[in-house]
Amino acid sequence: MLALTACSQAERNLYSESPETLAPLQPESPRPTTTTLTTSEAALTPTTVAPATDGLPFYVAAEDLPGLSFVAEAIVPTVNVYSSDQLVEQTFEFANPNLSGTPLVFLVEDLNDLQAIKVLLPTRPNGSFGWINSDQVRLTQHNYSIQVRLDDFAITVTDHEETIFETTIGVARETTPTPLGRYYTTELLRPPESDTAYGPYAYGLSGYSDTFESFLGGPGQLGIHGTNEPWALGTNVSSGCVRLHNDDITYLVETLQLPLGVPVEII
Amino acid sequence: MPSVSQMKRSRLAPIALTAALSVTPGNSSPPATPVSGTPTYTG
Repeated sequence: MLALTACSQAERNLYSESPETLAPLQPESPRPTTTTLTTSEAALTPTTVAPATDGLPFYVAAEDLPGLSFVAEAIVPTVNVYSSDQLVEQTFEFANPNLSGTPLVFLVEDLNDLQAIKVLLPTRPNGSFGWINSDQVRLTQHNYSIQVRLDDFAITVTDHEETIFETTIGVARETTPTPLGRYYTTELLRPPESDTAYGPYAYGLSGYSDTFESFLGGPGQLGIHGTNEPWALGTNVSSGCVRLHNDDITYLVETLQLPLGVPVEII
Repeated sequence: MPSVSQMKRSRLAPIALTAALSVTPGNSSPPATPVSGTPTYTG
């Protein structure tokens, strides 16, 4: 109930006054089948000996390039972060799994070097980055991204740069603005009760509020989640988070099955 | 008898690829698994 109180504003029914509601789009095609190669299988795959793709130390098929992101998932209990690709001066360390019990993931920002990987960090200040040792992570790739347009009260999910979902959201009040920037999804929580301010699911983001150093005992982390105030979608209602209709957040989780490490651009 | 450059390619290529092989191709990032917990996000 504390969460409800802190996240709510006066219960004005603005739903009918809200901007044109964006109807969720249905994906045109099902999620592509996941292909996972073992090391030995990959070694036999012709793509591993093809010329490296521009900006990458290895080959990526042309059809996998649009909207391509790499995710570094920790395979050690603690991942060390360094100030440069020399991997000498350590600046951070992150526990794996994180406090919620979720496997620690980073969004890869630069993969030119096979040993030192530049990653976006889930810490303050927003936009922090560093280099991690590739020995401490395994890499996966996907083609999803999320764009949150605060002024439009809209969220768009793309796959291979094609829009697969779009809907109306509730965004922050002017007094508690959501900091603009590039973040990524770090965890997915299922609250014990689905009828709270967070709805049935809540994605944690790598970014943090500039207004709240702490919030409900947490570090003021930004999130994308459901709501128990669906009538407030399309308005400035939150303390920094992005609120979706519970059906929509459920769609992202259960139907689209978005991975962690999806880049989230808030503009 | 392979040339030195051929030997370098044949011997070095697998080493260079070792790290790259940890990248699984295609849409290989697994769906996020929900963890039960009470969020403290900025609602």
